[in-house]
Amino acid sequence: MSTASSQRSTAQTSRTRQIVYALGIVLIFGLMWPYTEWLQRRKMDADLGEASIGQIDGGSFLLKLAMIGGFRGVVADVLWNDSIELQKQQEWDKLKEKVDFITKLQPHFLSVWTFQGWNLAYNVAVEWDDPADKYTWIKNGITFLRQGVEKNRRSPDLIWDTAWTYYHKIGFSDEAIILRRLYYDDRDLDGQNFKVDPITQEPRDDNFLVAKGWYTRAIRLVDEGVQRMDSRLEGEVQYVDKMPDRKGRPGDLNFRVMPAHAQSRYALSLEKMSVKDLVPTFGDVAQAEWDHAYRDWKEFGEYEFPAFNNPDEKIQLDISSDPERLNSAEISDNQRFWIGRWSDQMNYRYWKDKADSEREMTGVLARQDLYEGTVALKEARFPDAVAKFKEGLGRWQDLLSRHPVYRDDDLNKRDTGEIVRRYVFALKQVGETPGDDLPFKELYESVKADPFRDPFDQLDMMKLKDAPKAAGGPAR
Amino acid sequence: MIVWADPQFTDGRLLGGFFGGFMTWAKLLGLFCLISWLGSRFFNLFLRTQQSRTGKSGPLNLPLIGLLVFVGVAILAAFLTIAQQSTTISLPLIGGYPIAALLIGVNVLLAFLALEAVMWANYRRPQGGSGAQRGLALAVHAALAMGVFVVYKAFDMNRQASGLKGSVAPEDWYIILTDGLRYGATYAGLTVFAYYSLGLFREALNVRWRRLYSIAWQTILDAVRRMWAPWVVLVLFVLFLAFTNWFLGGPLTRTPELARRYIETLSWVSALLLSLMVLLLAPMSLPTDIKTQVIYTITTKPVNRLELIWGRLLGYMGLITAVLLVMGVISMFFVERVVNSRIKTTREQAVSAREVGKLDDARRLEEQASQLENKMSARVPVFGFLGFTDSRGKARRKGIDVGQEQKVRSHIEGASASKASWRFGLPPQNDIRTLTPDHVLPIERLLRPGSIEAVEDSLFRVRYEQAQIKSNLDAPNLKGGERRRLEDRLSKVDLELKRFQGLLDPLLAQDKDLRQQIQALESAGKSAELNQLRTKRDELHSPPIPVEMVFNVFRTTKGELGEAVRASMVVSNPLRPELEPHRSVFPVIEYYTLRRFFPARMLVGSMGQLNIDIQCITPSQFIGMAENDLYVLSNQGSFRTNYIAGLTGVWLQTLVITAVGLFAGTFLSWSVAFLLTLAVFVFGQLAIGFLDQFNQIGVVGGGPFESLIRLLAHENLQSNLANTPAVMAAKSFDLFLTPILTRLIYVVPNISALDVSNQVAQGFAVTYPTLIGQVLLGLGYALPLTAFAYYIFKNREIAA
Repeated sequence: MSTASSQRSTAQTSRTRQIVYALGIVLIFGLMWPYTEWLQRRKMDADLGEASIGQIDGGSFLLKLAMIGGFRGVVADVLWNDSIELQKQQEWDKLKEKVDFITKLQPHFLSVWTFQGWNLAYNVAVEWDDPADKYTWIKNGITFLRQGVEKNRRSPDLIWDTAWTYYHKIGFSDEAIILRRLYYDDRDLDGQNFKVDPITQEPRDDNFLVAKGWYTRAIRLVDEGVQRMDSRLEGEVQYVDKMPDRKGRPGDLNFRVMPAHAQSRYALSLEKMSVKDLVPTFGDVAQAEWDHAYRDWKEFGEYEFPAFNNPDEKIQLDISSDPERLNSAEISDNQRFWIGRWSDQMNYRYWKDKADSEREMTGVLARQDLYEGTVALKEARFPDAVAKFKEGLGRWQDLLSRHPVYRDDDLNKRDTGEIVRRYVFALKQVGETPGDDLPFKELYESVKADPFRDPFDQLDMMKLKDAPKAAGGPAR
Repeated sequence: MIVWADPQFTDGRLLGGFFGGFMTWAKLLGLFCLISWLGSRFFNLFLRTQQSRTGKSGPLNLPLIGLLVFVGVAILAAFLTIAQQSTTISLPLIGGYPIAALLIGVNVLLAFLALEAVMWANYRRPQGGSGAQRGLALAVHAALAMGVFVVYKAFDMNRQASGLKGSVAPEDWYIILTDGLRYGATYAGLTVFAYYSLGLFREALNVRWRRLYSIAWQTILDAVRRMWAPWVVLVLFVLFLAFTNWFLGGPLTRTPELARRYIETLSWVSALLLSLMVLLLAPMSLPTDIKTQVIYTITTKPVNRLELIWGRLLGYMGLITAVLLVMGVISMFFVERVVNSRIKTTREQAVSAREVGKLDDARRLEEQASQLENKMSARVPVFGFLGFTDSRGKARRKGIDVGQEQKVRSHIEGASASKASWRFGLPPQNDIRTLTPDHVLPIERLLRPGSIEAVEDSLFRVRYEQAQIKSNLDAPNLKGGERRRLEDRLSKVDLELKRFQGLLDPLLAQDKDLRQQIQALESAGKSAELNQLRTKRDELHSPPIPVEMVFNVFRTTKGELGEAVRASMVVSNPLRPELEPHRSVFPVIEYYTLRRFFPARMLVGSMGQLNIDIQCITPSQFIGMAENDLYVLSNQGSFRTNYIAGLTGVWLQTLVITAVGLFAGTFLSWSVAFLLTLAVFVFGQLAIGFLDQFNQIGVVGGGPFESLIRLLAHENLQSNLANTPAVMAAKSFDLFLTPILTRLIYVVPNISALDVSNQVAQGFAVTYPTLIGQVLLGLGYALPLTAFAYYIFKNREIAA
């Protein structure tokens, strides 16, 4: 009997203890509720919530939850090693999957996005032979960077990297003519808004225009005063070695010049066969785009950069194109030094004068004549070629007489000399010899032995299909 | 004898290579059996010896002290070796041998003598062990002696072959003894393995299916009712399927890769969920029953321990099979739906691109859809032997190395005599590979039965046989019986010739007639009737034979922008040089599976042999290939059947984990058993490559202790550490530990090797030889584990 009662007593004590523990657990959870609410408010105030950094990804959240405790770093390390091995084995699709997993585990580690976006667009794309496959991988790299932007909206670095890849990888590759055509034909059916300008929210058929939009977005983010590592909490922390944003620091000329470059490159590409089998555009459209380019250069030139050695002194590169003002008393020696140095560094005067000259109708017409002359030459219509070159070079000469900076630039001299070389070739075909009145005769001598081919012009690089005369069609 | 003795050698000539695997498996298991036998026998013997002397465990635990001394001396010897290598200290040689080597030798000898003394002292006692155990001990000693004898004989034979006279030199005895003991250990291991296998076999004969079934059923009920394990797994799986886009990024996956990505991921998720389920069930099963004393209700019944282990294994595997089938079928339909939808969308895009005149786009989209369709099949490739010819026309084993990191592929130069040649059938001369069935083309599958080519091929075979018989009949000294046999066969062959000719003639006549009608209609321009006649004519012939290939391109110049590098393919029949080779030229699309065809007539009279030569036509460019990059497609089966066959890999993986869990549960508490099983799962699934690398080439940066120092001191892997006492101590421990760690590759089951989902994902058939190999590998891990579990469980005291 006593054994049975002691067993009952033990069971009761055990049951009591279980109830007490359960109540304790419920109480602790209950107490956590207001604390959680308070913590959430503090996170929002200090701008530390996941949503304030960028878009929340369900898959990322679940994966991070699965990597309980410290496994996330270990798993990320293993994934990095695996991705390096996969790249050596040329397993490109598996590489991309691994990289996607890494970003799910570490969505706010910017280096992952920067490095792998570049890796996909540059290193992986170059390993594929067919240009269409190269384009697919460049697009994968850009899309990857854009996903990084969505998850790190306060980072101008990733926005700038996205812009650069649109601009440089599609626009300056060896196969740029074909890649730009693939971009042009891309119907964007996967819903990624790949061709949408982030500023105007309109689709653009030219990669340089989309790049300009992304560059502008990065600049606006910086001008709004947003810095990624600048939350209220982090502002109170004293870093031993604080990592600033790569892009958009005061004095970052390369950061601010890019919209002007993108616009100039777009306008330049309009007036040649820079997209496979697509005729150039001249007339009012081209003139308008060069006008945009001029204004973009002016805007860049008028931006006040702090002098490197004295941030209180402001430097405007545009003053370099106004010698009177440059040498006036209102500009200090220090300012004069930095204006000269930076405008040389950015070749500002050249670009501004180039945009200024190309936006004149004379310039546009000259370009059109020279293009039509080249087409006629390739099609062996030599009398037409001679006529067009003659007219075009005459206009060109007239134009450059008003724009000495552009005229005296080495690049322009080489381009002009090449045109003259073609003109002379056409003259010889029709049985004429170039006379003393040959425009830019001095440039002809220097390029006679140099069979230059423009890598961004289909007329030079690829088989010329039917190339009708340009009629100043609508902008792409 | 040496092949059987040395763990590094094996004989792969028998049973299509399977015997070699069996030999290695037996040797490894033998070594494990030997270690287990030694460990269990002597540890118990030592304890009993100690207790019998003092009546209780004495104040001095001699066995423990002996073990500590043994380990201590070994570490000291390692320390001295490291110190000497780093020139920190200089020690003299004694009798021509380093002090460290002598220390180790004396240490091992003393340990050996101590073990021998204790063992034979125990066997002299009445309760010292059964006759069989004494016999086993004697057999182990005999095996050790045989090892030394074999090495001595081999040494002696080498000396005689080299012309050396006289007896073996004293310094050579060191090598003979060390190698001989090493070989002897393998023989001893095989002896112990045979002994335990026999015991297991006798026990297995007593196993009753009814009892197995009862235990299995009880196991399933336990898992389902108490832990709801399969339901949890299925719910998680369905949730994953519902949110695949979170993880798989559907629309952004390249079309040709879509199938591979989904199949591999879903197989991996299935394997992971099932493995986790088994990880939680198997290791806890026996420890929980022992702790709650439920085990007594079973062991008191006439159930033998083997039935307990196998019954649980069967139960878990039954549960896994059911859940896996459900998951497999669901995921199969899911994959089909996603992939077929993408194929349909891509083809529609191709059509609309063609309508607006974008022919390049249309071609590309159609190609992508075809690539994806290819992956949704079960292709059976027949591979050939690859050889190269360089630009001077000289035969080479490898092509040009263009400096890429992956060395699998080598390259041929464009617009030169350089070519890559695949030979089907016979291996090239001076090749050590033997004829294997894989490299002979299966003519009976490639040529349609009853077609002109099939009948012609049969005719050729019969003619070959006729010629051979006639040649044999001309042989001198042919015996009468043999002559009669050959003459009989010749007459049968002549009849067969007439029969096949009788089949062929009408077919050829029909073909000729149709050809003339087609020519007449072509000139008349009647296309509808033309198509009918062409179809009729095609039915008389075997379809063209597909060849698939994947090459990569290396450009030295950009070349013409947008123009692909071009290759030529020449197919020839090596047994019929009079037959005009088939030639074709095609663009190489890198990383795409290119499919070309050659006419079936090339196989007529080939006896399964064929030559395919690939050359690069475009100047200044290179094409890269590896041996398995080109194959003849002999069959294309059903994706569904192949997918289900591919689930075998998952099943086998969970079989091994279940076996590990049950094994661990026989001697560990549930928590430790769970951790051990988890560790084996992680290492076997994820880190096997690292273990293999550790075994083969070691790890840069030293073993675990040296790595710890490098981590704490922020030293990189390449730098030389200063020879401080701490570093030397760490290296000494590593010298001791590293040989053990490098052998982990033989202990940890290679679970990832059981996975065949990659084959299914790439659209290749999981063939019967592959399946048999995988099953044998899985059983090769699982069966020994259950055997170990049985012996441990048998010797364990469970009943109060």
